[in-house]
Amino acid sequence: MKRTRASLRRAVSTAYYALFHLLVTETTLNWSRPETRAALGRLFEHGKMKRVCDKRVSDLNKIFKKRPPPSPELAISNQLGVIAETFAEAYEQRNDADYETSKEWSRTDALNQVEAVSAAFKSWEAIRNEPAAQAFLFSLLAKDRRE
Amino acid sequence: MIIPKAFAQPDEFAAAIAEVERQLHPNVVYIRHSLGNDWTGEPAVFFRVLLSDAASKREQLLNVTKQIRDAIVWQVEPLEQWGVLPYFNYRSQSEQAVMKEEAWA
Repeated sequence: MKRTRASLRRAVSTAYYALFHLLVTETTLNWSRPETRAALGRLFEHGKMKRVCDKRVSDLNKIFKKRPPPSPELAISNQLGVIAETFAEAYEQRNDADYETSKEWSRTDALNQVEAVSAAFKSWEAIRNEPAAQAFLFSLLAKDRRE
Repeated sequence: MIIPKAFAQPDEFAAAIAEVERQLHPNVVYIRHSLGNDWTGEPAVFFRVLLSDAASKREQLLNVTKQIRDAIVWQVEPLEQWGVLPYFNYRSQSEQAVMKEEAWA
């Protein structure tokens, strides 16, 4: 039973890191010098990325609430929303999985996290070359002057 | 310091959740929640959603949990109306029957 619990925690944590590394790698691919991409990747901060995703979800929800007509831009925003929402949730769950040892995990919960991250990967694949997607990547790293 | 409305009016917040919960049957058996702060220190609500065993099957799990999240996010509006970021955990009825965790009862 202990081994199962550890596996579930590991699954939740790994799912988060898969998405984290996807976003970091996709961002650093824009850096023209491959030898310094790893160093650039280390500039990303988990908590900051999460806050950026929270804000993005909040901003997108305001747009979605107005029920805009279908458009290519809206479709991209929907996919971005999936990615940002999944990252924010996965960040929280990952911290619980790694540090909140009293929390009990179910297989359903762990599976849902893995499936959600998998869906976020598909969303990213669908929009990765769009300017809005690339701007989103940059926002994960850029310093907010109001901080 | 501004106290989020969900903390100031917990009964009203619970009632808003209960209203959505009713719409989510039979996939959702019930929803429990607690208020606190997330790992970045933001006020948050943590939903514990007990799913029927049928709704917990892998092939439909993500669709079901997306419907639940969307229903709560769009109808309750935890952040916009109540000032708390929503987080969701899920468990099937048969898992809870084995785990017997009080917070999920």
